[in-house]
Amino acid sequence: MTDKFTQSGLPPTVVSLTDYLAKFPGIGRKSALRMALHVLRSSKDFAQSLSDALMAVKDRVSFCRTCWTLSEENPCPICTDSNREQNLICVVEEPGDVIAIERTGCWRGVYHVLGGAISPLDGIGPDQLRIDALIERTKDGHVSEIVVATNPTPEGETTALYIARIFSNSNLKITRIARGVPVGSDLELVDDSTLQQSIEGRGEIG
Amino acid sequence: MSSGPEKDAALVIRTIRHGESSRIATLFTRNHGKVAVIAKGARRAKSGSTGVIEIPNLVEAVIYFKASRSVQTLGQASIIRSFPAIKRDLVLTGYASAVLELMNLSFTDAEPNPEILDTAIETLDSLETCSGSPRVNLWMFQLALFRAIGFNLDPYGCPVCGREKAMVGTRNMFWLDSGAICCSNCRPSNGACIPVSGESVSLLRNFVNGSDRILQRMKPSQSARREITDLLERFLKTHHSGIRKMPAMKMLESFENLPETPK
Ligand SMILES: [Zn+2]
Ligand SMILES: [Zn+2]
Repeated sequence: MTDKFTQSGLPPTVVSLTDYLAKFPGIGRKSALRMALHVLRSSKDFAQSLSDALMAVKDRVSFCRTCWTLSEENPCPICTDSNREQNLICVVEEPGDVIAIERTGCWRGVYHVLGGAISPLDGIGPDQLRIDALIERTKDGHVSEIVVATNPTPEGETTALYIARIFSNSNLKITRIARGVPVGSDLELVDDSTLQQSIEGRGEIG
Repeated sequence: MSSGPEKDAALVIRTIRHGESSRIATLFTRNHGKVAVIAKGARRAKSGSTGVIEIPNLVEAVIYFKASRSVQTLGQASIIRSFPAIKRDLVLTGYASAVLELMNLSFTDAEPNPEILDTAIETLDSLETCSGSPRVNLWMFQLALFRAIGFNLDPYGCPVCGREKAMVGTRNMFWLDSGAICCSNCRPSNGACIPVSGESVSLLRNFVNGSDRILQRMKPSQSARREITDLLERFLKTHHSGIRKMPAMKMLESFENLPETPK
């Protein structure tokens, strides 16, 4: 690949930048080259700010040691927010899931980021996730409910079953986010397994 | 390998995330054996294949084959069986994963084996309907798998002295290379052996006889469970050089050892 680009007359530095940009998820080589050329055409200030911003996230952003979400502070603003219900913990796989739920503005509790999901076939077990840290958080008795919001994939479901199982002897309420028909979709176009799950998990109206 | 779209029944035995929203799945198909396919957009909520290309579903899939590619393209796919009861239970999920892991590790690509596919589906069905002990179902699947890939277990006569004694209550050795049980006196000087109890020997004999009904009625002791589980795993590893780690098999044990839910 690199050879082809060099042969095509691009300076090695541009090729190198393109190589890095192409490592981003969802960015192919063509888009990466367009981005590199954009940097070239932009002012030096733009390039400097971009590089500063890149370094700043690496220097300043880290994990909250309580909920393991990405934050510049430890504990993070969510964990220290007194308006939030600290007794409700929403368990997610990745920091990106916290961002997605926060965007909805409907969750008033706190979070716990596991750092993945249990996948027996990949050898990812409970020990590789922050499940012990979750157990630890419940020990002082202030937590009343754990909402398991792992992905509705086999790995996410296995993780949910595991969490339900390890807390089965406690007084905690363990709940799972509902699965169902995507908003705005036509029933006849919804796949069988989603439809099946939404019928099984149906709720009362009103 | 032929080219163009082909419809095939397949068990989804493995999936990995690929790129932004796709998934690469390993399918164990009826006509083409193990095939890696890419399910584009399978992780998006509104894609037609969401929830279809998922372990351990049995699906009907249209696959666009191209001999030059190592990963084929998945067209339409629909669920034949989705095994909801397995998916609702941690331990059954562990058993199903162990079956899929064995399917994935024991075969190379494009090595069709419809018989073992049927046996795997039957095993998943037994887990799904809770018919028989899940452990015994897994053992029977392992035995069928050994036969399918040509390793034979012979728990009858000692291959050295030829004696076929009852063996129950005596100390016997399982000879990993030959798949036979030998008396402890005849234990070969070279070649790994593991000790097996009389109880395990009679269990193994019932396996090889294929007496499912007897097996399902047997209540193996904790130590025989341990012994047979170990023995079958080590036997497979001895004869199949490609298999070193079996993470799903290992995790199954940790799931089984979790405290029971009191309800
Ligand atoms: Zn936090
Ligand atoms: Zn002998």
